[in-house]
Amino acid sequence: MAEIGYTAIFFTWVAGVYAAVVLLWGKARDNQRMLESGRRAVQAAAFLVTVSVLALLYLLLTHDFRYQYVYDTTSTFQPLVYHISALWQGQEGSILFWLWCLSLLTVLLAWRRSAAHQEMPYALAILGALQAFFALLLMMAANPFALANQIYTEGFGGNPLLENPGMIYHPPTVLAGYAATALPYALFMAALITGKVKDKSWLRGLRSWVILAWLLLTVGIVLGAQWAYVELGWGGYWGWDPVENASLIPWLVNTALLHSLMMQERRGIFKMWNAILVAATFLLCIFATWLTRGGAINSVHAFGTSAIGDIFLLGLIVLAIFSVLVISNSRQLLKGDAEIDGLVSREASFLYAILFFSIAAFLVFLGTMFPAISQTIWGRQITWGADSYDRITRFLAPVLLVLLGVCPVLSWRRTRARELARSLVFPLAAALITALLVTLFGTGLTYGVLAFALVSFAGATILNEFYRGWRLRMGKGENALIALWRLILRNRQRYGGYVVHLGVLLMVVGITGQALYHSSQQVALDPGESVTVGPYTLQYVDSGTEESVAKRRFHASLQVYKNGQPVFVLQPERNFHWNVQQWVSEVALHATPAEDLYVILYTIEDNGLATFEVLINPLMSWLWIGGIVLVVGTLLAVWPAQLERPSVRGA
Amino acid sequence: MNIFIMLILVLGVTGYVTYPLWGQTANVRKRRPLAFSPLRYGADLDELELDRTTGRLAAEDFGGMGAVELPAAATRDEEDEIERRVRAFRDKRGAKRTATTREKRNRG
Repeated sequence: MAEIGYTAIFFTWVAGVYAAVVLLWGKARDNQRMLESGRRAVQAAAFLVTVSVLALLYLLLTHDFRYQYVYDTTSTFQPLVYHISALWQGQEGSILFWLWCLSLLTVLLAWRRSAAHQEMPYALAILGALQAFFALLLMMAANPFALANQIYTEGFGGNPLLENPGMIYHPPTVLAGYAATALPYALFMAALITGKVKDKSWLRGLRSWVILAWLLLTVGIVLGAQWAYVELGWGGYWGWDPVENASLIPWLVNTALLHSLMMQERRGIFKMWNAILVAATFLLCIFATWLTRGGAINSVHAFGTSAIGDIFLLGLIVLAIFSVLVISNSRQLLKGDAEIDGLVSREASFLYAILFFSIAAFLVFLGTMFPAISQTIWGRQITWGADSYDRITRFLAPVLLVLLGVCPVLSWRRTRARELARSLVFPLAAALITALLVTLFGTGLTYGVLAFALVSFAGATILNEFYRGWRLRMGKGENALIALWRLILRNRQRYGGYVVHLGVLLMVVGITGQALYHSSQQVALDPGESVTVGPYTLQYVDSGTEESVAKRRFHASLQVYKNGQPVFVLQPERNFHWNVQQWVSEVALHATPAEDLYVILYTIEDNGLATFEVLINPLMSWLWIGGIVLVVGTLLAVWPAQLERPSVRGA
Repeated sequence: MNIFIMLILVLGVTGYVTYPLWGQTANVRKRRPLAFSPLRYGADLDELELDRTTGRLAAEDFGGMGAVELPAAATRDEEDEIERRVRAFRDKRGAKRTATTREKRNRG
């Protein structure tokens, strides 16, 4: 089976190279047969990668430990689901998965957009070349079908931290998101080459691919944060780890691109921004993959140094040069159709949003690369700690909230001061009331007051936008629910966007609550003893130990009381995994909309004495609820409208 | 066994990919948009020609007028398909239409 998998990778490379060559040649000679053959080659590449993926899955599921990858990532005592997730767990498998996502999305693109579109041969040629690059990478430096150098009867089983449901959905979503950014990149570069960049219908198609990539990256990042929260056992969800940052940077740039594209579609402006941002998003995804695999930085996510890093770096440089050449040759095409009329206008607000996300991406990039930069300049590595990033976030977050609150009320072209003031009365009142309430019932005048006041300000603006549209429809005699439904349905891009913004605000509530108001206490308890943290009293009832072939499991039972009444039992664990000779905590968590009670078990002595850390993370659930709202809003905005009926169009 | 599967895989894929270069695929023609502008003004089928480079239907008498494309697909025999499309187009738009003054002027 491994031979079939490897052969399929080799012919994927052949098909990718063939597609790139024959599509460019066919386009130059205007030869329909060659173009059709090239289109089929990208389909064939997707089929071949699928064969390779199935071959690897077969080896993983049948525990064929003759192969190094199977030995490294699985063992017979793991649940079945982790044999499947082993497909993207290791370096080789994750690159194969990257290629698989890229190939399937390319087929989807070729199917959705007719080959008659003049830019399609170039777009498919770029994607074919990318497929060939990844296939080459697999053959040269990351062969998942390589034989092990000795005979194993049992697998190593991989890192126990990866045995979490998060492993099933976080890596594939992020990898699919990275791969999805290749499509807007290829389409934009192709449009620049053919001069089609001014076509509005093309832009709408492009935007769907950008949103798809953004959605996958968003879901992947939020799920990764949730995984870190429940698995890593330190009470947080984002550690500003270089690889976490590496996925955040393209997300930030992609967010800027989403806003920028809306302006090109509506007013024909920001074309140069779009070209740069679409290229930057994809290049930063390649950069993120290189960072994880090249051994350039130390991280819990990193796979260690290998030849793959050099090949990725070379690919990154080639892509960067290609992008710069194409964009600089298309300067005339990228001139805007209009100018921004005023600094206080809807157009300008989009520019501020683009600048905000670009600056944020640059700062995170700078922090991530600072150890390498400082090593080059000063000869010693200086690392930005979480505190540095937190300080930047505390400065940037209010700016984002003000933008979210003010931008929706600005008019196109120019906004009159009186009009602006009238629109902001309600949001400002909401902010003021929130500030007073948080000051009175919270912990006094702190940064949290500013954060919650600004969340209210932005939330009130968005809800007011819904209310204004809804009231207008109600005035036409529609009932309340139908009016709201039709309001959203008739302008899904706008109101879907507002729902996304509401999701972001809910996430800010969760982030602020956890960051500013969390409390923790470390205690050592004998069985029967209690500790009170916030409104909860935790009584340590008993502990136990169990041993299996994979690990030794230590667990403790804590009865939790609130207002003197027993409410629930928590069972934190601490397990010693034999394969990696490493302790791994399994935290106990009770989540409510108001707060999370989070317990980490550190040690259990033979006499039953146990040490715990008990944390209360206020409002934490709103981070995840906000993530769900954000996804719903995105789907609302991107969901295909009623299919256009075929009609006669002027050519 | 594996070699046999690999051989089928490689030959099958090679055949599928290169077939448009040596075979007669519907897709090659299918993806050409057909222009129907002459139909609006009652051109006869015999006057219509398929421009193989652009994939458009054209008639010399109607040159210079704004072409109209339909997302049409010539999946069967070329002549049959042209006839079927023309009939469908005329059924949809009604009988032959007289060109407007502006169109006549454009026609020169």
